Amino acid sequence: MPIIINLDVMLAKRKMSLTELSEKVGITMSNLSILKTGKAKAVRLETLASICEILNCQPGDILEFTP
Amino acid sequence: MKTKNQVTLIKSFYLILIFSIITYAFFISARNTSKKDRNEATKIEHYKVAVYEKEVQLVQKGQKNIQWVNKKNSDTLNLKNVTFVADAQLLNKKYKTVQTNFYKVVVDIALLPLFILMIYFFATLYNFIDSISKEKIFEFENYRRLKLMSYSIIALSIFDSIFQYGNFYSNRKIFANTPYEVVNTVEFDLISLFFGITLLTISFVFKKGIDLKKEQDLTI
Repeated sequence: MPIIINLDVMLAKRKMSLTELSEKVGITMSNLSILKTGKAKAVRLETLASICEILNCQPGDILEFTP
Repeated sequence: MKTKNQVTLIKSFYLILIFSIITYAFFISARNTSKKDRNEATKIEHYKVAVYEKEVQLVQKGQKNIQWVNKKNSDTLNLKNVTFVADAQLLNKKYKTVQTNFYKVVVDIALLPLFILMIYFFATLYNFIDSISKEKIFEFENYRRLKLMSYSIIALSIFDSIFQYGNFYSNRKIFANTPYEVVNTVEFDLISLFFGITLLTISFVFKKGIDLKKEQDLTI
């Protein structure tokens, strides 16, 4: 898929672990892992908004389009 | 209704259905036996007289040319050099024992795939219901089970129709093989065929459901 998830990069920048993010956003670790590895088929806007709010970033910082 | 209750309901329906089928088969068998005994006792062969009246009258030994005339539209049917072995009663007396033994073996062999298919169908159905009771509904294994069940029920219907026709063919008397008599006498199992095709359609819809579930599971 041409959409790349840069969640691990943002987590490293914010010095936050995946477990901490999952606790703050309210998503299970398995779902967050699916999102991180790029296996996810779709992301709800609600989930994206929560992640952006916790990581204090824009959706474009997490999602990247590579043709 | 909760899934557990639904499964209990389905299981109850199947148990009632199986019990009804066994009871019905028992009564049908008892009725047929009673009818056969009665016929043998009174020496009246209703079946032969009703269906083969014309043939019984015409049957003679040796070769003969026969012309049948349809009373309604005056169509004629010519049969040339027809060989009659014997009249119907004599034929029964001479060959009935031999035919019965031979066809009994054929019927027994023909019943075996039907029996195996039925066992396979019920085993798969049991596994399917069991899987649903464990809340594992939209699984690929269930799609496979539904598909196999539909194939087995279609095969069952085809085998049963062949068996019914074979049974009719083995029991037929002279000239008792016209399309009208086949349609009128043989009970082709079309309801099972319809059920099998419907089940196959459901299995394809189930496959679509599995794809949707997969997509839903991967939506974060």
